[in-house]
Order: sequence, then structure tokens, then C-alpha cells
Amino acid sequence: MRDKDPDPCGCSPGAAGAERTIPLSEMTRGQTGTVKAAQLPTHERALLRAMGLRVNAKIEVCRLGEPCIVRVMGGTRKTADGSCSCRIALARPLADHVLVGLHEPAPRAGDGLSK
Amino acid sequence: MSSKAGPVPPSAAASAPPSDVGGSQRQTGETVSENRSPIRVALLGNPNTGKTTIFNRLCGLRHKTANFPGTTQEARVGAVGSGDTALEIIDLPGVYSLELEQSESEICRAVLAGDLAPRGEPIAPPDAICVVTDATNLLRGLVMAGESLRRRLPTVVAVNMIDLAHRHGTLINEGALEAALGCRVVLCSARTGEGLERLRSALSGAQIATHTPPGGEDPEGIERWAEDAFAAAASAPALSRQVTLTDRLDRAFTHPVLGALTFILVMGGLFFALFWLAQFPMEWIEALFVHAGAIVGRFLPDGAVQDLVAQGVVGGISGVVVFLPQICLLFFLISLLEDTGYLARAAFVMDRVLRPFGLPGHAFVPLLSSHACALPGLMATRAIPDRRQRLATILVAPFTTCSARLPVYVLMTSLLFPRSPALAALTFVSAYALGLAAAVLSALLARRTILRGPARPMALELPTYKWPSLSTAFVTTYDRALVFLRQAGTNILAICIILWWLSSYPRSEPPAEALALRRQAAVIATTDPAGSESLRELAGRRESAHASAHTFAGRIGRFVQPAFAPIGFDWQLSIGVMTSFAAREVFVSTMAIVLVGEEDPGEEGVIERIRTARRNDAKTPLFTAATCWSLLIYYVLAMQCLPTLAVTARESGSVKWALLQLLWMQVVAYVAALVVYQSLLAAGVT
Repeated sequence: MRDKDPDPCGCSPGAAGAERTIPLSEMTRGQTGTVKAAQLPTHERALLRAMGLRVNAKIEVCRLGEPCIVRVMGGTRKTADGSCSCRIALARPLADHVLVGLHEPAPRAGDGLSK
Repeated sequence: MSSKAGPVPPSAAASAPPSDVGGSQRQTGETVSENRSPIRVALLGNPNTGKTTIFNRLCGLRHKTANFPGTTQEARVGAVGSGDTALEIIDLPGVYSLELEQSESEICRAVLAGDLAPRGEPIAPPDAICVVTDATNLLRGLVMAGESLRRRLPTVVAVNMIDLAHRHGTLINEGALEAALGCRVVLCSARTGEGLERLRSALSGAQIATHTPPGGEDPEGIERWAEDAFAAAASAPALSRQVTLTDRLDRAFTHPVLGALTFILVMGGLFFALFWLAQFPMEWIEALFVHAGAIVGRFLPDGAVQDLVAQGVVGGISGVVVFLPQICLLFFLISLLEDTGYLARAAFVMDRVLRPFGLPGHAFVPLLSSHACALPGLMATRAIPDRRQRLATILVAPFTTCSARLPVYVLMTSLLFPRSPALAALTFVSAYALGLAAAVLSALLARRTILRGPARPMALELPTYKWPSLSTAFVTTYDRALVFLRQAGTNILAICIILWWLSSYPRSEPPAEALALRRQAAVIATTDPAGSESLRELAGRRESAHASAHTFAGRIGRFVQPAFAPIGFDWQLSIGVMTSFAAREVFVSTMAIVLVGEEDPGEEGVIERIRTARRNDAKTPLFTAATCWSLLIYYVLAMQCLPTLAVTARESGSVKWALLQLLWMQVVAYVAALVVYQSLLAAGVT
């Protein structure tokens, strides 16, 4: 059975605002997001993936710092919400290379862009 | 690869067609009943899914512990039931995926392929696999189930912690999940026992799945398959961002300051239990063995056989069993802590401290436990997943101050600071600090030289907090106690008997001085009974000192004395070092015998007499400040404990690590004592 949801992770720009992608280590406490990529060596990427931290998984940052703690809040599709619930402590060398699309309202015009 | 136990290339396992993954052609519907009895079941699952609790619930105490050959990975093999439905369950290491490049995954792959089995077990693929999944974290477990089903072995999926899942609002339809996976599914709770009887019966009739999950190079295929299975059979409420109890506890337990304080409190309690609480059963055991020795002495005629049994065998067994209370307490408390979920938080907190030295956060339990006794500390290193980090911890843990060093510290600090308890206490604390510093610095050196290699950056799951299971803690304790007594006890006992023999033989004739004293005592026996008694005691002390100096250990002490001369040890101290090679605390009683002729150093005036002991020239004091400091430093750092070496060899899987540990610790101790002694002499401190 395949998921027919056109917005499987609930994070498309139209649904949840424009996405900003940042390393997991730069997220703030309580911030949620969707994993976009894990730019890590194969075996480390495979380990995180097996632990549930894979592309399109929804996560929340529970504690900042080195190591940080993230909560994996479900699978990669809406039907899998709540299917996976675990907390993972991640060392900075790993968290630096996990890119996350933030779930946050679209920034207002000019916000964060003008310098 | 970090383990020798990975003959199945992961790429081959991942990309091979389904029928080849298990190493043999298997037909859908084939059941385990077509195979031999007992049915061999491999218990597979992610960490923290309650796999061990299921194993303990099913097998109880009917299990044994062995290693996988050529690895340091432990395997438990248990028996369930009897007759045609008897099961033999092999508890595999917890893994997040069968396809990872980690020693645990390699072992699981090899066992499922029939290339590896726990020592003593037949090397063949298991008859069935029981995949344990966590109902509150089902999706991840289903991915593991998919990897397992691709092996084409009869499989049952146990969905554990179903009671917790129901409480969280997760609903799982057993029938629908069976249809989606193509194999038997049993919803159960190892904690309450719900569904375990059905699981046992399902395992007896396990069948190969009706279909094979997708696989190959792309792991997304199996993940999509798992999500489909979840969607077809389960529903879970989307996780809210409400603050849960776990959130609140984690805020405290993983906080840089609060977390560290909690850690100190919890570990202080653990240390207190090991150090203080264990002393009572240890005293009872010692008393019991003294009594046993006396009984043996009564029934056996005087002579070598009586000495061997009463002192060598009974003394040797006593020397092993006396550590049992500490080992039992340590593993009981660690099991409780692990079950609550706190141990993972403690590893998280300590990772910041230990990481710079190349050790993981998990290393804190072994290092802390070694402060009571290195033996349980070394056994506790099994919690460290990375092989290099585990070996580094094994190598350095004995540097920490164990309770056997304390008698030496007490003697040296009372000789150094007889009238200043504050300075004595400061020296005591410094000795602890020196041991710990030597441990972490040695670990750093080892990780940069012989154990060089990338450490696993921390990716640690923090399980949900829950009440600990007392039955799991009891079974774990029983298991560890048995391992200790069986594996280490045999070696330690042999070592103790050899050391006893070296320290007791050859027997020597009493010295002329002692004979003269006894003659004098006989003369005044009627006129002055009290004086006669004290002369006899004096003669006994002279005989003990003479006998100790002429044993093999004493002769070795004299022989090696030139090597110890640069660090200020004369032949008498060298004898102490030699006889205490089996156990450090023996140094003090040896000194009491050699210098005073009194076995009990607690006897009134013995320390005073040790303090005034002289070297061979009868003029120079034996225990100068420089000698005391040198001895103290030597005993803080030296590996004077043969049982520790035996356990190191076992836990590291090779005698070479034990020899390296011995060599390194002796060299560090000698060099440090040399620097201190010669510096003090140069500074005019004598």
C-alpha cells in the first residue's frame, strides 16, 4: 500500500511556509524540522538512518550543545506520524552534517536577508 | 572491520537475491518442526526493545553465557520447554540494522548465515528468528523485521511493550500486521508476561514468510515497505509537542550542571553501595572461609597436604569468592539503572568529560567500578560498543584506586604523617587523583598509538524512562556472578595456589635466635609464666620473619632487589612487592611478618615497629620519607593484581593485552617512583 498524500512530510513551502535548511547543530531548542540530507560517511549515515534519523523524518531539538539531543517524531510520510518515537544524542561532528528543513512560518520580506 | 567475526560481506548480504541471503534455498511455508529438536531460535532486535527481558522471561535461569569465538562479544544461550517443542534461544547483540559496518551487525549476519555460533554451539543457521520490536517505536522495528525476513528463515515478529503502546494511544492489529509482513506476529509485553506463552508456541511452529521484502542496494525500498506495513496495521497519534515526564527529567539529567550533580549523586550512591554495603557480606564470606580452613585443619593431619588444602585451596577460593558481593551489587544496580533509562543519560553527561581522552561516555561505569575493584570494572566494559574504546578502557581501568590499595595507602600515610590527619587525608585524595589521571592519560596515549582509529561519534539512543524490572536485575546479577566464578575463578584460584606455594615454601629451620628465645621461655615457664609467654611470642615472630625471607618469594625478592634499589626498596620491601604480586593488600601483611614477625598489621604497636624498622646495616631507617613516597606512588600505579590480569585476558579476548597492561603499568609505576625518589633524595629529603 503506497501513500497517496501529495505532501507526505507536511513541510512543503505552500503548506508550512518557506523552508530554510540549516545544519542540525544550528537549530534552537524546541525547533522542529524535516531531515533533508545527511552529508556523512556511508557507515555513519547508515547508522543514523537505521536509528530513525533519515531523510524526510520529522525531528525536534530537545537539547542544544555537544552532544545535542533530538527527538525523531515519525516516519517519512504523514501516515507514519507517531510510528517512530525516539530520542537520540548526537555528537557535533554528526549534527553538523545533518541538514534540516525548518518548520517555521515563511519569513517576512527582507527578514534575515539584509545585511 | 572492527571484529574478526564478520565473514559475510555486508554488501553481499544486502544485495544478494532473497533466496541467497540466508545462505540456503528456503521455501515459503517451511516450518521449524521439519528440523531437529531443540529448535534453535536467534533473538534479534534493536537495542532498548526489551529483548533481554523477553530472553530472561522465557529462559529464566536456564541459560549460559559464552563468547562468539574470536570476538569479545558475549552471547547468551537459553533453554525453553522440553520435548519436541523445546527451544534453544540465542540472544544476539542488539543492533539497529543487520547491514551496518559494526562488529555487532557483522556477528548477527554471520550467525543468521550459519557461519558463526556461540562457543560450544553447532555452527549452522538458526532454525528460526524471533525479531523483537518495540510497539512504541514500531516503524524502526519493522525495518529490522524486513531485513530479517529477507534471510528466508522461519520468522516470528514479537511486538513488545504493547501495554505501553496502548497507553500512548497506539493501536496495532495483529492480524493485519501478519498479513502485511507475511509471517507470525505476536503482540506481547515482557514486563507483564502478556503474550509470552503465545510467542513461545509461535516460535515452535515458525514458518518462512509468504513474501520477501524488497531489498538490494537501495535501503529506501525496505523502509517504504515498513511504512506500508505500519500504515496497513497500526495507527499512532501524531506526537504532540507537549512537555512529557521524559522531557522534564531529561532537562535535569542532561543539563550541564544539574546533570553533572545528578550523576555525582547517583554514582556516589553506587560507589557507596560497592564500598560500604558490600563489606558486610565480604566479612561474612571471609569469616566463613576462616571457619572452613579451621575445619579442614582439624580433619587433615599436620603437614604439606593440610597446608595446601587449608591455606592454598580454601584461601585461594576465599580470595576469589570474597569479591562476589561487589560484583553482584554492581551488576544488580547497573541493571536497575539501565532499565530506568538513566544509564544512557549518564553516558551522555560523561561523554563531554571522557571524549577528549579518546574514551566514550559509557566508560564511566567501568572506571568508577574499578575504584572498588578492577574485576567488576573490567566486566562492565561490555557496555562499550566500540571495540577500540572498550580495549582502551580495559587497559587503563586498573590504574584507578581499588580497595585493595587502601591498606598500603593507610600504612604509607600513617608512616608519612603520623600526627597530621589532614595531610594524610590530602595524600589519600591525591593518590586517587593520580590513579585516575594515569588512567585517562594512558587511554589518550593508547588511542593515539596502538588503538588509533576513528572513534564512533556519539549517536546514542536515550530510551524512555520506566520502572526497572527486579527480575531482570536478578537474572543479570546471577548471570554475571556465574561468569565471574566460572571463568575468572578457575584462573584466579590456580594463581592463588601457585602464589601461596611460592610464599610458603621451602620451609626453613627456625633461626638460632628464635630457638634461644624458646629455650629461655622454657626455663622461666614456672617462675614467670607471663614473661615466658611473651618470649614465645617473640620467638614466633622471629620464626615467621625468617621463614618468609627464605621462601621462594623471599628468595626472588632478594634476587630482584638490585632492580628495585634505584627506587629505594631494600630486600625486605622487594619481598613485599613480590609476595603482593597476586594481590596488593598482601604487601602490608608481608611487611608485618618480615619486619615485625606479626601477621596482623592492626595489632597494637605493629605500625610503630614497622616505622622503626632498619635496613641491613641496622642503622639506616627503612621507611624514610623518600622511600614512603616512592612506595606509595609505586602502589598507586603498579599492576600488582594477578586476578585482574586473568580477567583482562578474558575480557579482551587475548593474553597479549593482559601482558601489555602488566608491562605498561609496571613501567609507569617504576619510572614515576624513580623520579619521585631520586628527586626527593636530590632535594635532601630522606
